[in-house]
Amino acid sequence: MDPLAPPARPGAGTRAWPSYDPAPFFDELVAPDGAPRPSAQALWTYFTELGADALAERQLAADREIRAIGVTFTVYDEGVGVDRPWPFDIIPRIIPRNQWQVIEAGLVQRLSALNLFIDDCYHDQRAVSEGVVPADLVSGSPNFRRECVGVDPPGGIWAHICGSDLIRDDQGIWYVLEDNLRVPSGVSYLLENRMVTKHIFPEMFRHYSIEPVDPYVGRLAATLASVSPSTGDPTIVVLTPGIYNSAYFEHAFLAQQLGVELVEGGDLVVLDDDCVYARTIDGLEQVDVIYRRVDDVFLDPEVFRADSMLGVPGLMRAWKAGRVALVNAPGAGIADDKKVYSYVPEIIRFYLDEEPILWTIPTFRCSDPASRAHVLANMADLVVKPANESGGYGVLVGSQATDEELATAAKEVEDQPNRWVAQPIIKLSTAPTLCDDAVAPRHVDLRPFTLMGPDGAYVTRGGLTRVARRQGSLVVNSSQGGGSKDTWVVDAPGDEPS
Amino acid sequence: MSDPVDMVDGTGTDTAGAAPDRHDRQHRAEQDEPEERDERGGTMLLARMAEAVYWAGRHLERAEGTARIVQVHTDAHVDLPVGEDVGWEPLLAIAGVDSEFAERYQEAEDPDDVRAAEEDVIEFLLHGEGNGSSILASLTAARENLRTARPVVPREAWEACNNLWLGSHDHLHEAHSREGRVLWLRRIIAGCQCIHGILLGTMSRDEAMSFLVLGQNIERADLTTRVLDVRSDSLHHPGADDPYDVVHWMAVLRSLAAYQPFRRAMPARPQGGSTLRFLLQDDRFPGPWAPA
Repeated sequence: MDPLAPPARPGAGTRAWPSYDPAPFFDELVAPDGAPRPSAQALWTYFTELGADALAERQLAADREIRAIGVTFTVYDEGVGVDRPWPFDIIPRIIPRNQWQVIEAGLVQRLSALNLFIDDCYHDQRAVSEGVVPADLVSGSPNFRRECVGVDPPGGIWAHICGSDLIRDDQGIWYVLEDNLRVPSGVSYLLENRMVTKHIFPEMFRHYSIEPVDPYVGRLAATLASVSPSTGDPTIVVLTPGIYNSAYFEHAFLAQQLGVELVEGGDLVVLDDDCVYARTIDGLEQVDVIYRRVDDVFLDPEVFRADSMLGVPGLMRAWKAGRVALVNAPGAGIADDKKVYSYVPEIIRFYLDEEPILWTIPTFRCSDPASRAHVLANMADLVVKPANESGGYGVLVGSQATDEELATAAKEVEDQPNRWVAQPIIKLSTAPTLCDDAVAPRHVDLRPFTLMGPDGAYVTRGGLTRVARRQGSLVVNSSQGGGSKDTWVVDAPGDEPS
Repeated sequence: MSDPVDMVDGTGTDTAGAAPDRHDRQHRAEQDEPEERDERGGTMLLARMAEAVYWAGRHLERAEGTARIVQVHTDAHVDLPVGEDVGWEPLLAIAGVDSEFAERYQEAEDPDDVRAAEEDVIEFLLHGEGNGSSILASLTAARENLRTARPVVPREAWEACNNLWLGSHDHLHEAHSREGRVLWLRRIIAGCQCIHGILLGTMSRDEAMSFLVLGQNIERADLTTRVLDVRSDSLHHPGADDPYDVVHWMAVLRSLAAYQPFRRAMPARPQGGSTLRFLLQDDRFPGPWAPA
């Protein structure tokens, strides 16, 4: 029980957001009858007492703090990168702890199965030979890295860090929407959001027992150290594409938090001994673990794109020789595309002999003729996505598309069916969001981060909630103008299905 | 006198039996030999980071130094009778941007008035286009370098610098009047001192710190010599009884934040000889840091 939940609901005249009506969507904080969900009761009361003016003031204070501490992300407009302050909505989102425990177990289950799948892809391909997935899904994938075949990373773990995208439908049911296994970003914003909330609403924390998010950094450090090929204190670095990358803020933040160097490709060199060295003021020093935030194809110009200026020549050689650990391992992206996604339930059953804990959205693979016909006939009711992109690029929401856009998409599906998948439009849940001084429902998703090493797994408590700031919009990606919220996993009675 | 490092090591100058230090490791790396672990793991400093903190130190010092010089010059200027003043060009000379200034402003000047207008000089020194050493340009460069070096500098130092940079832009329009300028420059000086304080109070005493201090000290030495160079030139008249001589030398000391230390060290009236001795030779004159 929430010890501070007031005995009765506030009267209609004193409601925090009198006209708040999320229907027909599932709202994270407000029940269909307009009353706060039990876990949100104390927050609701707090905001009711605070009033609209004070709320707007706090939002200003939050914006000022974010600007001052320099939390930014970079957007590219006509090739020019501009640093934008991180968009943050001050009204937290709340998830009851008992519900979160189920999600946590589901995420660990999923990442365990995906790691077994990746390892299988680069070894015997049992999943193919036993008919769980088609051969083309593996060898035909643009994310399949021939160079990784036969490699044995420590503990068989390829994807050490996963940023999953979770959404809820109009019944409040949780789904996994994406498993981001390449270079998922966002965790720095998750940590910074919590810090800003602590500064803006210190009083509110008295009413809740909120799971801390800070332990992530320590767990990340431990996970990185656990895959070090050498004994003794490993030298860990974060590899960034550089200051112009849209996630540079995060790279610098993580390096700072971990207390390790932030390197660019040019700072590293691989010698004839297949070891990786950093160019330091004392000369070359060996590096054991690289938390790389550079995509596979830019990692090593000797193996992948020869024109890459971001990588380190010989890095793959060093990794294959077991002289350095790469996190995530090259090739892990094989399990991160939307066609593999559609097979994840089977993948979980096959490798773990368990039923999936979390739902996967039914996905039509346009390469399949029957599915393609269905997609083409029902495009206006579907979300059509490129099988291989991330960041919300190229996604078409059928119900919100013009006839012209639909026709263009249909042609692309017919021309290159292999590149496309489609899913039913999920009516994303909403959360109260401060918009032009009024609180209104806006659609949200959630990106928790899962760490996995030979010694175990860890899931962030909660995650980064992203919020679409325009009314009705389903696009939450920050690259597309989305905002964010602090997310609280709290000790409170669960009141929703999980 | 024994070296404290050797005492800890217990091996004196003979390192043969000692644990390999980082230089050893480097040496081995280059010789392709098996690695020995570095006992102080995590303390490595990328050459690129060393460069970034060095330049952060220089640019921070330059921003503060330039702000101080403009501030002090403005103060001294109002003490001198109209016509006796030295104009505003010395500021350009100290900053070493006279030719850049001439390029931008000369043509627009009234040909009858050969002296540069106060507003133009100030604008150029505060944020003028084409002046890579302006206060704002220096702050911007310091911020960029601290941003690159975020992993090795305290988080609060980066935040203070970012905040100062934002504030100095937000309030720039106020700096156009003499009144507003005083406040704006004070904010810059206080902001830079705040950053120094954070660094001094919270930065690891490691090699990154040494590079930062190196940058600051080099910049400060550079600034000191520039100020003396320009000022002694303009003061090179043997008017010992000139009442304004004192004003000028006080200004020299103030623009280097050396007035009060000078007074404590040399209670004599400031004049050429004692001032120079103090600024160039007296180790009581504080650099921004005691040597790390």
